[in-house]
Amino acid sequence: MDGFFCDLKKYRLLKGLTQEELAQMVGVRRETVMRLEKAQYNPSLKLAFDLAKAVEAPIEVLFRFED
Amino acid sequence: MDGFFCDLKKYRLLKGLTQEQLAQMVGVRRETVMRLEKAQYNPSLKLAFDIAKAVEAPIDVLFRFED
Amino acid sequence: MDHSNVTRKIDPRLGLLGFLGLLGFGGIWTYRLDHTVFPFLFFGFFGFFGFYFEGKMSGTLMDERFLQNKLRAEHAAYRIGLWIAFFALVLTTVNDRMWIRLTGASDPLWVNNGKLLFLTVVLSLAAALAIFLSQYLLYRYDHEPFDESEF
Repeated sequence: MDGFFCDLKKYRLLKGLTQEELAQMVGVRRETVMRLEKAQYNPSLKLAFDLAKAVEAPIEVLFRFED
Repeated sequence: MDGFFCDLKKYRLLKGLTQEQLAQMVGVRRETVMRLEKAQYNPSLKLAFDIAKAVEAPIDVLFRFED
Repeated sequence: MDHSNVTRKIDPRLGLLGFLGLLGFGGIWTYRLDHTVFPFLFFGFFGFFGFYFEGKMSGTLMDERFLQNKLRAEHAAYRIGLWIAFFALVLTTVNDRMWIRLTGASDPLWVNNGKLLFLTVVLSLAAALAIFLSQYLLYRYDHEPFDESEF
Protein backbone atom coordinates (compact mmCIF):
# COMPACT_ATOMS: atom_id res chain seq x y z
CA MET A 1 0.00 0.00 0.00
CA ASP A 2 1.34 3.37 -1.00
CA GLY A 3 2.08 5.87 1.73
CA PHE A 4 1.47 3.41 4.54
CA PHE A 5 4.24 3.04 7.08
CA CYS A 6 4.30 0.64 9.99
CA ASP A 7 6.76 0.65 12.87
CA LEU A 8 5.27 -2.44 14.45
CA LYS A 9 8.46 -4.48 14.12
CA LYS A 10 10.49 -2.08 16.25
CA TYR A 11 7.96 -1.95 19.06
CA ARG A 12 7.38 -5.70 18.94
CA LEU A 13 11.11 -6.30 19.39
CA LEU A 14 11.23 -3.74 22.19
CA LYS A 15 8.65 -5.86 23.99
CA GLY A 16 10.70 -8.96 23.22
CA LEU A 17 7.87 -10.64 21.34
CA THR A 18 8.14 -12.95 18.35
CA GLN A 19 5.77 -12.53 15.42
CA GLU A 20 4.08 -15.75 16.48
CA GLU A 21 3.53 -14.55 20.05
CA LEU A 22 2.17 -11.19 18.94
CA ALA A 23 -0.11 -12.90 16.43
CA GLN A 24 -1.56 -15.09 19.17
CA MET A 25 -2.09 -12.13 21.48
CA VAL A 26 -4.24 -10.31 18.95
CA GLY A 27 -5.85 -13.39 17.40
CA VAL A 28 -4.43 -13.34 13.88
CA ARG A 29 -1.99 -15.51 11.94
CA ARG A 30 1.75 -14.94 11.90
CA GLU A 31 1.54 -14.24 8.16
CA THR A 32 -0.83 -11.37 8.88
CA VAL A 33 1.66 -9.86 11.34
CA MET A 34 4.40 -10.29 8.71
CA ARG A 35 2.33 -8.44 6.13
CA LEU A 36 1.54 -5.72 8.64
CA GLU A 37 5.20 -5.20 9.50
CA LYS A 38 5.89 -4.88 5.80
CA ALA A 39 3.10 -2.28 5.63
CA GLN A 40 1.41 -4.43 3.01
CA TYR A 41 -1.89 -4.88 4.76
CA ASN A 42 -4.43 -2.27 5.84
CA PRO A 43 -5.80 -3.72 9.09
CA SER A 44 -9.16 -3.00 10.66
CA LEU A 45 -9.20 -0.33 13.35
CA LYS A 46 -9.97 -3.00 15.95
CA LEU A 47 -6.90 -5.02 15.03
CA ALA A 48 -4.75 -1.88 15.03
CA PHE A 49 -5.97 -1.04 18.55
CA ASP A 50 -5.32 -4.59 19.75
CA LEU A 51 -1.79 -4.42 18.34
CA ALA A 52 -1.13 -1.04 19.95
CA LYS A 53 -2.28 -2.45 23.28
CA ALA A 54 -0.16 -5.59 22.87
CA VAL A 55 3.08 -3.72 22.15
CA GLU A 56 2.13 -0.81 24.41
CA ALA A 57 2.72 1.91 21.85
CA PRO A 58 0.39 4.70 20.69
CA ILE A 59 -1.48 3.85 17.54
CA GLU A 60 -0.28 7.03 15.75
CA VAL A 61 3.29 5.99 16.40
CA LEU A 62 2.81 2.45 15.15
CA PHE A 63 1.05 3.40 11.94
CA ARG A 64 1.44 6.33 9.59
CA PHE A 65 -0.31 7.27 6.36
CA GLU A 66 1.24 9.87 4.11
CA ASP A 67 -0.24 11.36 0.97
CA MET B 1 -19.90 -4.23 17.60
CA ASP B 2 -19.45 -4.97 21.27
CA GLY B 3 -17.12 -2.73 23.25
CA PHE B 4 -16.62 -0.29 20.38
CA PHE B 5 -17.24 3.38 21.11
CA CYS B 6 -17.02 6.24 18.67
CA ASP B 7 -17.00 9.93 19.50
CA LEU B 8 -16.89 10.97 15.87
CA LYS B 9 -20.21 12.84 15.97
CA LYS B 10 -19.00 15.27 18.64
CA TYR B 11 -15.77 16.10 16.80
CA ARG B 12 -17.51 16.34 13.45
CA LEU B 13 -19.95 18.90 14.88
CA LEU B 14 -17.08 20.79 16.50
CA LYS B 15 -15.61 21.20 13.02
CA GLY B 16 -19.03 22.27 11.74
CA LEU B 17 -19.18 19.46 9.18
CA THR B 18 -22.27 17.59 8.01
CA GLN B 19 -22.14 13.82 7.62
CA GLU B 20 -22.28 14.35 3.86
CA GLN B 21 -19.29 16.72 3.88
CA LEU B 22 -17.20 14.46 6.07
CA ALA B 23 -18.09 11.48 3.89
CA GLN B 24 -16.89 13.34 0.80
CA MET B 25 -13.66 14.41 2.48
CA VAL B 26 -12.68 10.82 3.25
CA GLY B 27 -14.20 9.23 0.16
CA VAL B 28 -16.99 7.12 1.62
CA ARG B 29 -20.79 7.24 1.53
CA ARG B 30 -22.84 9.14 4.08
CA GLU B 31 -24.31 5.83 5.28
CA THR B 32 -20.81 4.68 6.21
CA VAL B 33 -20.29 7.78 8.34
CA MET B 34 -23.68 7.18 9.97
CA ARG B 35 -22.77 3.63 10.86
CA LEU B 36 -19.41 4.72 12.18
CA GLU B 37 -21.00 7.34 14.43
CA LYS B 38 -23.29 4.64 15.79
CA ALA B 39 -20.21 2.45 16.38
CA GLN B 40 -21.74 -0.24 14.17
CA TYR B 41 -18.84 -0.58 11.77
CA ASN B 42 -15.21 -1.54 12.30
CA PRO B 43 -13.43 0.64 9.72
CA SER B 44 -10.08 0.02 8.13
CA LEU B 45 -7.13 1.72 9.79
CA LYS B 46 -6.68 3.89 6.70
CA LEU B 47 -10.24 5.18 6.87
CA ALA B 48 -9.89 5.83 10.62
CA PHE B 49 -6.73 7.86 9.98
CA ASP B 50 -8.38 9.83 7.18
CA ILE B 51 -11.30 10.65 9.44
CA ALA B 52 -9.03 11.66 12.32
CA LYS B 53 -7.23 14.00 9.95
CA ALA B 54 -10.49 15.43 8.62
CA VAL B 55 -11.92 16.28 12.03
CA GLU B 56 -8.48 17.07 13.48
CA ALA B 57 -8.78 14.81 16.52
CA PRO B 58 -6.44 12.06 17.75
CA ILE B 59 -7.48 8.64 16.63
CA ASP B 60 -7.55 7.12 20.11
CA VAL B 61 -9.85 9.91 21.26
CA LEU B 62 -12.25 9.34 18.35
CA PHE B 63 -12.38 5.58 18.72
CA ARG B 64 -12.28 3.35 21.77
CA PHE B 65 -12.38 -0.42 22.19
CA GLU B 66 -13.16 -1.88 25.60
CA ASP B 67 -13.10 -5.54 26.58
CA MET C 1 -14.54 -10.84 16.84
CA ASP C 2 -14.24 -14.58 17.27
CA HIS C 3 -10.62 -15.62 17.64
CA SER C 4 -11.21 -19.36 17.93
CA ASN C 5 -12.33 -20.00 14.34
CA VAL C 6 -10.15 -22.39 12.43
CA THR C 7 -10.79 -23.87 8.98
CA ARG C 8 -11.72 -27.55 8.86
CA LYS C 9 -9.01 -30.15 8.43
CA ILE C 10 -8.95 -31.85 5.05
CA ASP C 11 -6.31 -33.93 3.32
CA PRO C 12 -5.15 -32.19 0.13
CA ARG C 13 -5.15 -35.62 -1.53
CA LEU C 14 -8.96 -35.45 -1.49
CA GLY C 15 -8.39 -33.18 -4.48
CA LEU C 16 -7.83 -36.36 -6.47
CA LEU C 17 -11.61 -36.88 -6.22
CA GLY C 18 -11.75 -34.20 -8.90
CA PHE C 19 -10.91 -36.90 -11.41
CA LEU C 20 -14.41 -38.29 -10.75
CA GLY C 21 -15.43 -35.50 -13.09
CA LEU C 22 -14.17 -37.70 -15.93
CA LEU C 23 -17.27 -39.84 -15.28
CA GLY C 24 -19.12 -37.07 -17.05
CA PHE C 25 -17.74 -38.35 -20.36
CA GLY C 26 -19.84 -41.47 -19.74
CA GLY C 27 -22.73 -39.31 -20.84
CA ILE C 28 -21.48 -39.47 -24.41
CA TRP C 29 -22.08 -43.20 -24.38
CA THR C 30 -25.51 -43.08 -22.68
CA TYR C 31 -26.65 -40.23 -24.90
CA ARG C 32 -25.82 -42.22 -28.00
CA LEU C 33 -27.58 -45.22 -26.52
CA ASP C 34 -30.97 -43.68 -25.68
CA HIS C 35 -30.47 -39.91 -25.28
CA THR C 36 -29.93 -40.22 -21.52
CA VAL C 37 -28.41 -36.99 -20.27
CA PHE C 38 -27.88 -37.40 -16.53
CA PRO C 39 -24.30 -38.82 -16.53
CA PHE C 40 -23.13 -35.44 -17.81
CA LEU C 41 -23.98 -34.14 -14.33
CA PHE C 42 -20.84 -35.93 -13.13
CA PHE C 43 -18.80 -33.13 -14.70
CA GLY C 44 -19.73 -31.31 -11.50
CA PHE C 45 -17.25 -33.54 -9.65
CA PHE C 46 -14.44 -31.55 -11.27
CA GLY C 47 -15.19 -29.05 -8.49
CA PHE C 48 -13.59 -31.50 -6.05
CA PHE C 49 -10.19 -30.40 -7.36
CA GLY C 50 -10.80 -27.47 -4.98
CA PHE C 51 -10.22 -29.87 -2.06
CA TYR C 52 -6.54 -29.74 -2.95
CA PHE C 53 -6.37 -26.04 -2.06
CA GLU C 54 -8.78 -26.35 0.85
CA GLY C 55 -6.52 -29.08 2.19
CA LYS C 56 -3.49 -26.85 1.91
CA MET C 57 -5.33 -24.30 4.04
CA SER C 58 -6.40 -26.87 6.65
CA GLY C 59 -6.52 -25.66 10.24
CA THR C 60 -5.91 -22.03 9.24
CA LEU C 61 -6.90 -19.44 11.82
CA MET C 62 -9.62 -17.38 10.16
CA ASP C 63 -8.45 -13.89 11.06
CA GLU C 64 -9.85 -10.75 9.47
CA ARG C 65 -7.43 -10.92 6.55
CA PHE C 66 -8.50 -14.50 5.79
CA LEU C 67 -12.18 -13.59 5.92
CA GLN C 68 -11.64 -10.61 3.62
CA ASN C 69 -9.82 -12.80 1.11
CA LYS C 70 -12.57 -15.43 1.38
CA LEU C 71 -15.23 -12.87 0.52
CA ARG C 72 -13.17 -11.64 -2.42
CA ALA C 73 -12.56 -15.15 -3.72
CA GLU C 74 -16.14 -16.36 -3.39
CA HIS C 75 -17.47 -13.22 -4.98
CA ALA C 76 -15.23 -13.61 -8.02
CA ALA C 77 -15.83 -17.37 -8.31
CA TYR C 78 -19.61 -17.31 -8.07
CA ARG C 79 -19.89 -14.33 -10.36
CA ILE C 80 -17.97 -16.14 -13.10
CA GLY C 81 -20.05 -19.30 -12.59
CA LEU C 82 -23.32 -17.43 -12.69
CA TRP C 83 -22.47 -15.52 -15.87
CA ILE C 84 -21.49 -18.72 -17.66
CA ALA C 85 -24.76 -20.32 -16.54
CA PHE C 86 -26.75 -17.34 -17.71
CA PHE C 87 -25.13 -17.21 -21.15
CA ALA C 88 -25.75 -20.93 -21.56
CA LEU C 89 -29.41 -20.30 -20.80
CA VAL C 90 -29.55 -17.47 -23.33
CA LEU C 91 -28.07 -19.72 -26.02
CA THR C 92 -30.75 -22.37 -25.48
CA THR C 93 -33.59 -19.89 -25.92
CA VAL C 94 -32.99 -19.56 -29.69
CA ASN C 95 -35.64 -21.15 -31.89
CA ASP C 96 -35.26 -24.69 -33.20
CA ARG C 97 -34.20 -23.72 -36.73
CA MET C 98 -31.44 -21.50 -35.38
CA TRP C 99 -30.38 -24.24 -32.97
CA ILE C 100 -30.09 -26.75 -35.80
CA ARG C 101 -28.02 -24.30 -37.84
CA LEU C 102 -25.76 -23.57 -34.85
CA THR C 103 -25.18 -27.16 -33.78
CA GLY C 104 -25.63 -29.08 -37.00
CA ALA C 105 -28.14 -31.33 -35.23
CA SER C 106 -29.44 -33.85 -37.71
CA ASP C 107 -32.72 -34.91 -36.07
CA PRO C 108 -35.16 -32.05 -35.34
CA LEU C 109 -37.06 -34.44 -33.05
CA TRP C 110 -34.31 -34.27 -30.47
CA VAL C 111 -33.65 -30.53 -30.50
CA ASN C 112 -35.00 -29.96 -26.98
CA ASN C 113 -33.09 -32.96 -25.72
CA GLY C 114 -29.97 -31.49 -27.28
CA LYS C 115 -30.62 -28.24 -25.48
CA LEU C 116 -30.99 -30.16 -22.22
CA LEU C 117 -27.71 -31.92 -22.94
CA PHE C 118 -26.01 -28.60 -23.59
CA LEU C 119 -27.39 -27.02 -20.42
CA THR C 120 -26.49 -30.05 -18.31
CA VAL C 121 -22.91 -30.00 -19.50
CA VAL C 122 -22.39 -26.27 -19.18
CA LEU C 123 -24.17 -25.87 -15.84
CA SER C 124 -22.26 -28.81 -14.35
CA LEU C 125 -18.99 -27.34 -15.53
CA ALA C 126 -19.98 -23.87 -14.31
CA ALA C 127 -20.82 -25.25 -10.85
CA ALA C 128 -17.53 -27.17 -10.80
CA LEU C 129 -15.62 -24.07 -11.85
CA ALA C 130 -17.27 -21.91 -9.18
CA ILE C 131 -16.58 -24.47 -6.44
CA PHE C 132 -12.98 -24.91 -7.55
CA LEU C 133 -12.28 -21.21 -8.05
CA SER C 134 -13.66 -20.23 -4.64
CA GLN C 135 -10.96 -22.40 -3.04
CA TYR C 136 -8.20 -21.71 -5.55
CA LEU C 137 -8.64 -17.93 -5.54
CA LEU C 138 -8.82 -17.89 -1.74
CA TYR C 139 -5.49 -19.70 -1.65
CA ARG C 140 -4.03 -17.32 -4.23
CA TYR C 141 -5.24 -14.16 -2.51
CA ASP C 142 -4.19 -15.39 0.91
CA HIS C 143 -0.70 -16.31 -0.28
CA GLU C 144 -0.17 -13.33 -2.55
CA PRO C 145 3.57 -12.92 -2.78
CA PHE C 146 5.04 -10.01 -0.93
CA ASP C 147 8.51 -8.62 -0.45
CA GLU C 148 10.24 -10.81 2.15
CA SER C 149 13.72 -9.38 1.68
CA GLU C 150 14.15 -8.52 5.36
CA PHE C 151 13.23 -11.95 6.65
